[in-house]
Amino acid sequence: MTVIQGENLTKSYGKILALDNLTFQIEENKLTGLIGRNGAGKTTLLKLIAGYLKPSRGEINVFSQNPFDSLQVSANIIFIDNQMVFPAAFRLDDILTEVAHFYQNWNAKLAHGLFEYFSFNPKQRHSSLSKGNQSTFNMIIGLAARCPLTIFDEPTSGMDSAVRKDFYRALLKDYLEYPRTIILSSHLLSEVEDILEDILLLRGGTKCLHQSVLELKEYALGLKGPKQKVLERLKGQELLHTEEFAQGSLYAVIKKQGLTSQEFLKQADLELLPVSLEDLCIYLTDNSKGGIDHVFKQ
Amino acid sequence: MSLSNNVLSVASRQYVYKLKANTSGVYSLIFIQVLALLFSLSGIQSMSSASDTLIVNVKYYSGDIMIAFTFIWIFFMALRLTSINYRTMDFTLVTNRLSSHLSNVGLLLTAIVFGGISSSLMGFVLKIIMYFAFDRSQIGVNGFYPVVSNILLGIITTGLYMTLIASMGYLLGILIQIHVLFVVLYPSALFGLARVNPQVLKLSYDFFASETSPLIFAIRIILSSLILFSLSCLLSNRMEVRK
Repeated sequence: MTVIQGENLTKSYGKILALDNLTFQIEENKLTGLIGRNGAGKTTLLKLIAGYLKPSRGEINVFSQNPFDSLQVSANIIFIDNQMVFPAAFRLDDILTEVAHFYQNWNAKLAHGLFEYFSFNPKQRHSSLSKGNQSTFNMIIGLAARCPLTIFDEPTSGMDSAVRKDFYRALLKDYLEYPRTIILSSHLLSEVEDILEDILLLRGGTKCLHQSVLELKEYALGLKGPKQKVLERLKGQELLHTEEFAQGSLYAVIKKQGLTSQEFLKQADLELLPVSLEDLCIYLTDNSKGGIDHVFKQ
Repeated sequence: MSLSNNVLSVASRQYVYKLKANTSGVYSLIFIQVLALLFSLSGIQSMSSASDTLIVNVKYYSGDIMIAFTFIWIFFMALRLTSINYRTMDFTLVTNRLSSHLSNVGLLLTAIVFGGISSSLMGFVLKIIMYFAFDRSQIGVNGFYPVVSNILLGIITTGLYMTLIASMGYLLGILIQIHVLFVVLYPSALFGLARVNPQVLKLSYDFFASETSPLIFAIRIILSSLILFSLSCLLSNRMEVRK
């Protein structure tokens, strides 16, 4: 079943185009990573899905209805980011008790388990928590709510690496125990690629690609060797990325498209390198070829 | 997909949530009324006349200041509920715009019940203080001793006025959300109207204040408040949240 469907989705803030004709769909019970550079439109897309914003053009459907101002959609969604506000009068343990009334799948045991594991002080107020702790607390709510559609927008901002690892593990475990549709937007692809199933990559408000992580890992091939040889060998191929090293050596990344590594191994001075997902996404979303090096060459 | 999510059930859950979150509102009410009581102690009006042989000094004491302060309190309560912070609080959890408004109105009505009763009863605190602070013979007896029906009428009237004021504050809050300029436009429109056509303001004052039949008065206030609240709902219907 398709949970989210976007049709030519466009959102502009005044003259600034945040999303540009985005068409995509997200299937039920998938853990999708929303990846993109700063300002690629990740948060805007997530807020459109949650029904907080209205598309300027195009259409979005969540659970087959327009999410804007829809109670039905709101009841089945939880949107976790670091802008969540809870009443100043509530202490942390009050929040956990009160929020539970809104979500029918609320898992109090999980909430309290995580709450104690991360050693929160139940008497503290949400606003007095540090940024990392706020993110952790919001994450607990996001997991315990067990909403059919759970959206995490940069959930790990401010968390230290130990907590981030715990969070990914908790997310994966709870997802396996209680499968649901989860969208996770993040900058740190290297950290989340192990738990994601699909990746939706945004570039400048448009869809760059939407594939499973397994496919993406086979997407590209890196080749390193003397510049002339590499260029010669890759003639006719689309270069995703090139990087020059000292002594005329060149590193190039191409789309794999069914090429096997055997074909390259014949040439002795060519070195085959794996391309990490994170690097691949950086290459794919590069604005200009050549990356930061280009600036210094001029 | 959960099914038990009609607007009323969500709004009532939100109402309970907000009630618990706003218990401190009672303290601000108490503070404001005690403050008003202190102001009232010096009397709101005094009149004196003197001749060669006689000096007459008349002082009026009244609970009006307490009522007025309670009006101001409910106005700002309503205004506060429309702030971005409160809206984000709603949209952190399950809500839509209608259920958010409904639970806000519920919360305001609860505040009105509290404010209406307490401000009317504060009048008695003032009277009791007067009773013990002055020589009994100096008190003008007319209307001093309470009659139950009058107390009830006082509470209901105060509550109704508070409802009207709350709906005006709420509308102002929504307008400010639409554009900040309404902070200035709202009062200046009222004053402008009063200058251009003073009759309008007098008519609307008469419409609410000079009605002698309690029933018609109640209907007028309730209908007007309903219209203002619905206008607020309509205006905020297309508004984006958590931008």
